[in-house]
Amino acid sequence: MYNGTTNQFDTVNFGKVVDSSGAIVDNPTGKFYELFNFGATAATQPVGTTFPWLQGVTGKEAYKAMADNSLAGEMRDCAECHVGGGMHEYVMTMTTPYAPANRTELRGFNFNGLVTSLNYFIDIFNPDPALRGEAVEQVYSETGVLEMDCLMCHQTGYDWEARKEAVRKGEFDASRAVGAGLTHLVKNASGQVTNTGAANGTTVFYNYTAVKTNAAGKLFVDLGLSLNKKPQSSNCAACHQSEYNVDWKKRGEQWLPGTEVHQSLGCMACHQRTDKANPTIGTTGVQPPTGKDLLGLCDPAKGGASAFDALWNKLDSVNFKECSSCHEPTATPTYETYGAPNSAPAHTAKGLNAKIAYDKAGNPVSHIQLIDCTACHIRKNFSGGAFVDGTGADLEGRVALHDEPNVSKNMGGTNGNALYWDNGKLYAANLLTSFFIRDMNGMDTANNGLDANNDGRNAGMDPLLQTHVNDINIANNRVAITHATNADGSFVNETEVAGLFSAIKGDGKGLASTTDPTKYSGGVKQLLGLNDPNNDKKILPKISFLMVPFKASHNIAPTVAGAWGKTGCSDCHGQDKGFYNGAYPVRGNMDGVDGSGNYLFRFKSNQVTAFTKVNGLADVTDSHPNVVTKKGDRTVPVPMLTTFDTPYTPDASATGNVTLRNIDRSEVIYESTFQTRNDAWATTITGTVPKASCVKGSAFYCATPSGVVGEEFKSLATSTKGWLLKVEVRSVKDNGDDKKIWFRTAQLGKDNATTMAEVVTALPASFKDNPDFTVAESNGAIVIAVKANETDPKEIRLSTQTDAAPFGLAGSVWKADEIVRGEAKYAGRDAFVAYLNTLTDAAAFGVGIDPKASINLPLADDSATQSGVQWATGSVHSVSAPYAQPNAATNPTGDAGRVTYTWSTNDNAEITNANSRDGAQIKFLTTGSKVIKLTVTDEEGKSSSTFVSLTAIAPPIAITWAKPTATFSNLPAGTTTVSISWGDGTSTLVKNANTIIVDNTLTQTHTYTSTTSKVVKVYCYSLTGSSLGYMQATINPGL
Amino acid sequence: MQHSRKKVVKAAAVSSAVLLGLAAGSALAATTDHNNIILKDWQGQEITRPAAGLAAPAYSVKQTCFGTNNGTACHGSSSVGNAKYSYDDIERHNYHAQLGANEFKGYNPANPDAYNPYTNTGDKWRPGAGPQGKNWVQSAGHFGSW
Repeated sequence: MYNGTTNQFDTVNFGKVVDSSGAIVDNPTGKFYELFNFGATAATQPVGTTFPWLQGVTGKEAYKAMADNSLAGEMRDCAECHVGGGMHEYVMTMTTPYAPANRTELRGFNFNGLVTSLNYFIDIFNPDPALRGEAVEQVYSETGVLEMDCLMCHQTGYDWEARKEAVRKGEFDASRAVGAGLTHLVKNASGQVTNTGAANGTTVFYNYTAVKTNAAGKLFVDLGLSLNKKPQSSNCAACHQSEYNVDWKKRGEQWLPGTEVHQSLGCMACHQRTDKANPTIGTTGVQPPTGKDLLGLCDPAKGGASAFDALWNKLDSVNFKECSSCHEPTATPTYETYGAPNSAPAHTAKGLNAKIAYDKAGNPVSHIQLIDCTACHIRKNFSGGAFVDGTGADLEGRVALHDEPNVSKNMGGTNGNALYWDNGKLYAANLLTSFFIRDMNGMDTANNGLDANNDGRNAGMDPLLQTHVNDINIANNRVAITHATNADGSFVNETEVAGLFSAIKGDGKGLASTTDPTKYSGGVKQLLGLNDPNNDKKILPKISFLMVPFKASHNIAPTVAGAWGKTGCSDCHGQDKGFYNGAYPVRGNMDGVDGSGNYLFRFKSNQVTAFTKVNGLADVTDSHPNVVTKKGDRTVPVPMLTTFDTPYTPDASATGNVTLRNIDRSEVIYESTFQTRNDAWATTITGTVPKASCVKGSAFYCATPSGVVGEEFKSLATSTKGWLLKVEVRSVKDNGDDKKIWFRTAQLGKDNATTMAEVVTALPASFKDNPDFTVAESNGAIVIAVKANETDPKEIRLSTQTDAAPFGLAGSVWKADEIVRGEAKYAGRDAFVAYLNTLTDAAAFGVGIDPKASINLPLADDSATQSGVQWATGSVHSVSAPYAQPNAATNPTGDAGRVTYTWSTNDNAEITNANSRDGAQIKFLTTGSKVIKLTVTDEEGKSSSTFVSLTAIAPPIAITWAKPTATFSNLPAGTTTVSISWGDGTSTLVKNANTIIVDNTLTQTHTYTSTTSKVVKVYCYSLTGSSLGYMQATINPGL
Repeated sequence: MQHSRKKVVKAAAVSSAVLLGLAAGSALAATTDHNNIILKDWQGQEITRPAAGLAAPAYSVKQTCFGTNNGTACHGSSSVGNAKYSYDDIERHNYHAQLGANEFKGYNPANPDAYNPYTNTGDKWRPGAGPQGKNWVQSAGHFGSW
């Protein structure tokens, strides 16, 4: 909800409502969660009610038109793995605040005859394909519910496949007995379950071999030999590692015998909590507002999530054994470490602990600090997922194809993983690309826009409901496009996709179509419940691809077999080595070309479109926006489509043989041109003038594009709606305190703006003229200007969340960000990767070279008349050292690697530039014997020291001559008599000199009769006649 | 036709005799604690063997494991070790079971102003990327994604 006073959006969480004044308040009903209601099961909805575009339909029909998956559907689909409990057993707490004790049992819940996502599902698993796609009620009194099934994790031999068959059919109560092997399970010769042994959802035919009967006729079981306090790996793997299951698909095989070095230890070796000996168990189920949470009794400790995983992240890394926990513990472990060898010596020997790399802030770090352990220790020469194909169902009925070899990839010979940054650290990943059909008609309904998935929001290139795509496929005997090879040998080709789009479009009349509604002749609009006899609301189907780098952290290979870097720098650094560079097999098993050079996985350019734009809508990407740079302030755009068209490109103008590129791994971690945030503050921000409407590359709406025919025209395509402008404001008086920055935000609500003037006009008035700044248009550009305020002046800059590109503000949000290495600067990926490829000589970075400290001699000497070196106290003296770690071959006149020079003394002398090799200065404050020490430390942590000794003395008497005056300074304290020998045979005895000495300085005039140089000598005596000091100097009497 | 899925995990290979030897110390011990367990249905009733050919109520983990067994305290009603924790204690504080059910936000949680990076306050969950404004995304987990 937009707040016109603060110019910020406010979140209306569950348990809150917006009152008549626009304020967000507690729900007066006291309810926390209210079920989303699709209407009464059978009754038709009155005209103009909840869903105006679905007038006259029943709740079931509305549900089918609007929903694809639901909680009830998850129970038959996703619950094949999920353990039960949660919302598979309970309805969300209805009263505020959320409290687990206030949840209501799903079994017996009164839905009052309404269709909701909790009691209806789209039947996608019906054995009769003709019946698939219907909205079906899930009656929990008949199906039972999915309790948290302890045996799924704790029983040896728990039958995951059998349980899956039970949940598919809604045999929820029965599924527990089925999975535990307590029923009369029947499997065919192939091992497939043909009968789960369930009579229905809540009753089963017990297997009386496994289930016994006591004297009282009660059923009991003996599970003493099959229950495990600590889950066995096979139980974990049933969901996480089996072929085509979720982690297999996302991350590839990860737990292979003979490859994963920890396999004999089992999953729980690492995932067992470190506080096992004295655990602190969480039981509340309510997450703390900030900070970490407590692991529950049955929570395996989990590693840190990536930016692509989000599930109770407050438990990430809690009591988890990281690699270092066992291999390089910093304290005596209180948990099992299984005799893990210490990895530090091996890493050090290879230079991996040498600080020759850079962290995200540019500070020296080692490769071990920069790269997660797993990234170097995984070699993925095995299978995993390449694609999830959202254009059709798999053989079981799930509405995306992901379990066929076509959408997988054999990683053999590919070097496996890619890399991605997370908070400045590199992690390994499997790149999984999902693709789906979306509608590029993003206009408002009033402008003939189409809400292609009925989510109530028509802008935004809606993805179609996959159940709708599935329905159309089934009705027209179609399958997912990757399902089988085509007659020309391709896996996917242009004709096949054209056929799919044709079926989705139909005749465009929706419910008004009369051709053959049983085959959805009205197109997807028929399934959306739209009556469009003149096909006014155009659908522009395109396929988009979304690549996600899913973190890979398992299948740790033995070092000798697989660790990157085991043989040195050139394991990774060099052309196409396969670690940070080299082609990644995005196309997986569908890679290749035919004899005519056509890709076996191909499209037409107007059949596909980029996933999105990132960095303020400036950069096209086909990967997840959370793929970020090392600094983390920008998305790394990864365009993978070889080409794609604007939405209004006619078919005849489109090009064929478009595919996804097998990108270079470096594209996931480095931008083509390095940029970072422009964080300068200003009082006026003026944008550039964006490309005009209807000009190629313009972001503005174009009502009448030229050269466009048929229905493929821009006026029914992408819109300007949703552009975000977010301004950061600070008071100059806050002295740069970032915590006091505040924000003002606006979002464009107009879908068809053609000029910046129209854009600005459509922004909220409260934003355009707020207490801090004004927003206006001038000569086609946007101008944001701080309001004058003499008592409290303000400054502004743009948030990186701003959609800078369409506003013409990209240059105000971002700036070039060259990487500097030594004397060289690298502006982008190609140059920088080329530089990285050259870094194959560790010795060039000092690795393996011991530093040697030495001090340049001789030191200055303040007293030539005394043996040894004397430095006068209170005087600054320079010291310097030769390079401590030169490399004769690569850097003979400098330091190879990073050497730190540290000067110190044995007392409290003042040292300036104490870490400078040749710029340090020392000033002793006291007299006596002194030691100057130099310590040099290199990138490997090796160090060397040396020292010199000298004597700090009171400043010696100084003699200067400026005709006709001699100045004798630094006279010893207590001097009362001074004898001066002028060097010309004359002398002067100054008695009571102490009465005329000022600041230890005595001046005397003298007249020489010749200009030849003279040796002037001065002798100082105390009141008792003791000698206090002597000095001589040669002067030129004529000067 | 369904796929017969390959079970990736096979009998653990002995990759290292040292590792195996160390692992043996944590081997799973058989116990008689879980013998003679009377099965109970979801209402907590002990299940009686039906007549031949008839089905009986499916057993409930919740009722069978977390109650008493012929008068012996079991999980949730015992004071022994981890057995003192009830079904609810475990289920409601368990990410495998909750899957986002305890992380519900609202029907439209995505908000460009929800998180302040300078004070590190507010809700960082999906402040930008991802399916903004989609009402089926109500939590960070699986529940609430539809």
